[in-house]
Amino acid sequence: MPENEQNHSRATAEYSRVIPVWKFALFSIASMGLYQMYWNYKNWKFFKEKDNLDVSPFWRTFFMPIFLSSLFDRFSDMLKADGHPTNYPTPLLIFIWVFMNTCCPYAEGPIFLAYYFSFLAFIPVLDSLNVYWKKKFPDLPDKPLTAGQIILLMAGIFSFFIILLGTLFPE
Amino acid sequence: MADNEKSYSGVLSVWKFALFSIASMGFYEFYWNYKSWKFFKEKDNLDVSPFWRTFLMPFFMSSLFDRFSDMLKKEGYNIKYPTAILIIFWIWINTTTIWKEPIWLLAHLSFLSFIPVLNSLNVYWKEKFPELQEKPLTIKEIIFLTAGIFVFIIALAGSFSLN
Repeated sequence: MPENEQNHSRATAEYSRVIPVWKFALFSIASMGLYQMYWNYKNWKFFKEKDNLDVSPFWRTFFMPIFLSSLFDRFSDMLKADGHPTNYPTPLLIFIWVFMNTCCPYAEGPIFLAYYFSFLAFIPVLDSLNVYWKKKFPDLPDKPLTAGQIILLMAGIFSFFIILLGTLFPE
Repeated sequence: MADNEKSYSGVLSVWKFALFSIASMGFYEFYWNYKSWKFFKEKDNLDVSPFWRTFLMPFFMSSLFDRFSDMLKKEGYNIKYPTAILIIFWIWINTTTIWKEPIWLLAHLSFLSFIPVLNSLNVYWKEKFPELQEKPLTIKEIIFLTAGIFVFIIALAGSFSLN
């Protein structure tokens, strides 16, 4: 990676860029998937700054289903260029994500809940990125949760459990 | 299209793309997509499946258009096609128009989405290999084009005469 890109990655990383899978999963469930859009936005912003791209992170997040492949491919290219070959199955991940977000919300009964698990499509990408960032900046600590995030998580998970109980025991 | 296919230029005229697209009812766009992914797979040694990326074309067009954009940028070409608009237009024209008569004929115009990308690529290939000739049409291609365009005109005439 060229020096300016490395400086960018580090300068913007007071904390490590590692996002533990459990954190991503909890935020995703608690926000009914909106966290995935936030993550998408942040990553397009990252690439826009790092590679000086002429793209709009907002529109690429607004049309996330058609731009997710490009984002996953960019990560794959970035890791490969730094000597971390990845082989996550992008078509399968995107198919799962699109299916879970389009079909499951309209399903009746407990299958509806599968919608909450669309974060699963991100796990192979997150895992590859986490290994990369850990090796690149081993001295940087993980970003701790803020009070606001903890409150959001608790409220979101509480709502999820209410929906879960309501779906499993409708009477 | 690839560097090693030096006998002909990688240039693909817009009129040729448009005619093939209309004659094949849009299937040529899938073929072009497949060939382009194959080109990148070989050029950049990518671990991707051109077949699945063509099968799921609406979700992978952005990645392909971005790859072309990155390739041209790396070679010093400052290109700026609006990827999001092109893809939304392509999806819209291929999904909403096919249900109504005679508006479904508009779906034949889905090739329009590819024109800005093709134009950028054509400038690039022309400057990269100015000595190479454009690939001429084969007999089979001419027969296919003639038949496809004939069917299209019949469909066009049929749609309007019904009304």
